[in-house]
Amino acid sequence: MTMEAEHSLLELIDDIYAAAVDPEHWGPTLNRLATAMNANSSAFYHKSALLPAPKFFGTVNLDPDLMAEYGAYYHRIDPWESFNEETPEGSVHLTQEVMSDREMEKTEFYYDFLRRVKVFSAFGSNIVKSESDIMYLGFQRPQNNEKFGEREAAILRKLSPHIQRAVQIGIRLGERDLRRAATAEALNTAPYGVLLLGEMGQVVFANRTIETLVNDGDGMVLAPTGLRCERQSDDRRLQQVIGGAIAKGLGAGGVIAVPRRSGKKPYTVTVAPLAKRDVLFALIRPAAIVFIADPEYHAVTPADALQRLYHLTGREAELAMWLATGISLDAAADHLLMAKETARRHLKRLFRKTDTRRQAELVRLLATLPPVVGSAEQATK
Amino acid sequence: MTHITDETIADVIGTVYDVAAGDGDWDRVLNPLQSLVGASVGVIHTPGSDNGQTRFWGESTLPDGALQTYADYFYQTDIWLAGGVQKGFVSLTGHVALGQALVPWDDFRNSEWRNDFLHPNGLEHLLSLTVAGDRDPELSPILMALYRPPGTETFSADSTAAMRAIAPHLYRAFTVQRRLEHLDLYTQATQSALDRMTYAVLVLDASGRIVAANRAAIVIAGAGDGLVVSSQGVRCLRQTDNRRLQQMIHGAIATGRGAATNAGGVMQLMRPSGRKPYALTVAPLTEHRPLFARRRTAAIVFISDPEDRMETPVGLLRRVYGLTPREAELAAVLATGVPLATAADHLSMAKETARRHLKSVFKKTDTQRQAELVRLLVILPSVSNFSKRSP
Repeated sequence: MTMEAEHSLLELIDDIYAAAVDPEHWGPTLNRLATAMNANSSAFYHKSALLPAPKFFGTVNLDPDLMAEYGAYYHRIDPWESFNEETPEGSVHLTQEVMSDREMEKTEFYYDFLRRVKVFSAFGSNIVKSESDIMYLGFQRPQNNEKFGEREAAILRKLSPHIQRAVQIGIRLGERDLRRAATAEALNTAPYGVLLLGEMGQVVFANRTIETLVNDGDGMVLAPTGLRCERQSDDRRLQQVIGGAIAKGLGAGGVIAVPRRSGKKPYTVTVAPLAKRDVLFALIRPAAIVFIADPEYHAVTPADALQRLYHLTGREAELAMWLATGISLDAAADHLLMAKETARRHLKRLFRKTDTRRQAELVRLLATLPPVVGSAEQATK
Repeated sequence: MTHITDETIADVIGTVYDVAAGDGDWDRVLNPLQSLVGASVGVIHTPGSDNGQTRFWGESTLPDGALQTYADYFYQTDIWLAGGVQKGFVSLTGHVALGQALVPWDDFRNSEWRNDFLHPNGLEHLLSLTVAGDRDPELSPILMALYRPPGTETFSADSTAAMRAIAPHLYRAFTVQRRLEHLDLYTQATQSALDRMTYAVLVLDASGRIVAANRAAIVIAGAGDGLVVSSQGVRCLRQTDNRRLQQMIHGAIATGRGAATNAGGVMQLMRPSGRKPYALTVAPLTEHRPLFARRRTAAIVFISDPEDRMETPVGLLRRVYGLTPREAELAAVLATGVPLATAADHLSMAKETARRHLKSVFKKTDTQRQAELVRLLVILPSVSNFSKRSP
């Protein structure tokens, strides 16, 4: 097998696997592959029943606007594409197998698209093919150039198992990363702070709510070494609970109240251990979870959401929003510049619409509602 | 022995990544590698340190017990390892060395290492590779050693060149396994935290299918009480409810893509069991789409069940607010929203006693009314043993 002197098989394989762990690398890798094939352009894309349009991992020397048009429309009338959908994974095909030059020149695809993209002959392979997905790598040359032949096909045949492996590693890393991001993002919606601590008590993850809660050093501070209380006596208790959870694992942990300088209700800090796991690699293992609740901070369901949820009128919803904080009916009526008698009538209707009988029950119902994201308001007292 | 060419080297490299993408069974890499360079035995290991013994990642065709005797005793006599450390080779990722470069023949010939360990195990020549050096920021030192028996020639120059070509791939393969483990570890930890949330959380992809869910969501899914959760996503049993739900979900997904601003919403979900309806909210989620992932995070669904008993742990109340045992029990029952008289009956407590306890509870929690107390108690995150929650 002969190849361009500058691109040995092993050098190309190096490039391919570098892209497996670093998706940014697909651009340069495709460039070198295109050069090795003496191609004018190249495209590597992903077609899936789950994607609205073919998605390009990378292209070489192809106008992105034209590729967008391809994704939006022209792929549907691309005769090579329909041919390609039938070919098995790993097999390499030249476009002259699909139709003759003369037949190609008669197609809408050639007339409206290929001519603008300066592509005429091509070859490629389904690197990955399953029931739902196709990942296709193709190389192209303009019209009036020598067509691709067996030489290039042989190179691609040798490389395609490696490209396939690189893609599969990329997929595996990608899917795991997706799950990690999904769980982390879900934690960001919690109305209390969530921290993950490493074995030395250092913070390895903090959800977004933490920033709102633990700032201005009102009793607690987030340091690089971990979570600390301002007062020494409090800090000693906190570190003890954290240390216990980390050292003893399941069954340990605990809850403490951390008073605040401002005089607001104390934070409730709950420490829960994480199951110890054997790790093969030297990683910082999350060893404990810390929840920080601020009784004075709780996402209040906004009035318009309450309206929609329980079919309330505007006034009823406003009243409900105030009552949810636990204040008396009279105090709520005052806040809303509402007559006491009116407030009482509204409350009766609230009870009916929410299927509750007492204010305490109503408060509990409203306090257990799930977050309406993007509307966290501090509870007023 | 396989003829060493670019193609055969490429084949071995392929196997390295098969193992990286799979279960990390490094033994499977050693066989083809040994065939390539004509080695009879191969070992991948991390040398022991103050913290512990030699750690073996993979081995191939060593006699039984050899690894154990090495880890127990002979590592101390391993002059090749000592030579490699002394010359700094163990710090050089990718470094390839033959035995004779590590220890001169005169020192090697009569050594305990050779006579009491190598020869009895049918070994004589070494081809070593520092897969990852001891200064690598991510990996602990990982060394590969390939051996040939006595009575054979030492490894050829082609063999050392082949090892040099394969070295960076072995390194990369280990970093892939490390990354997978790291992602796993952190996902498990954040999942544990999610599982302690009192309401159900479901993260959906752009097709509405579930990417992540917490335990509360699985409980609601299992109940099948008006809501059906499957691989296809979340659906309501009732058509009218389902139309509204799908509308909210599509709105949230489209917002994530920038295609709409009608972001999710809220709804009540009726339950065939007649229990109080679920409250359900949908919101768009910051899109996260790794390049090769076939899905992206698109929407988040929250569900709460007003009938969820969600007991406030008595211990928590005592520890945080300094309540006495009876005060804590009373507070926990009141947190469910029942009147004082009902709570007193439930706890076989006299009404007057209950009133006294409540006064004390108000004082200790800095609240003035039952409604205020309920709110305070309900928003404490419930982190007690999950199995105590009633279905």
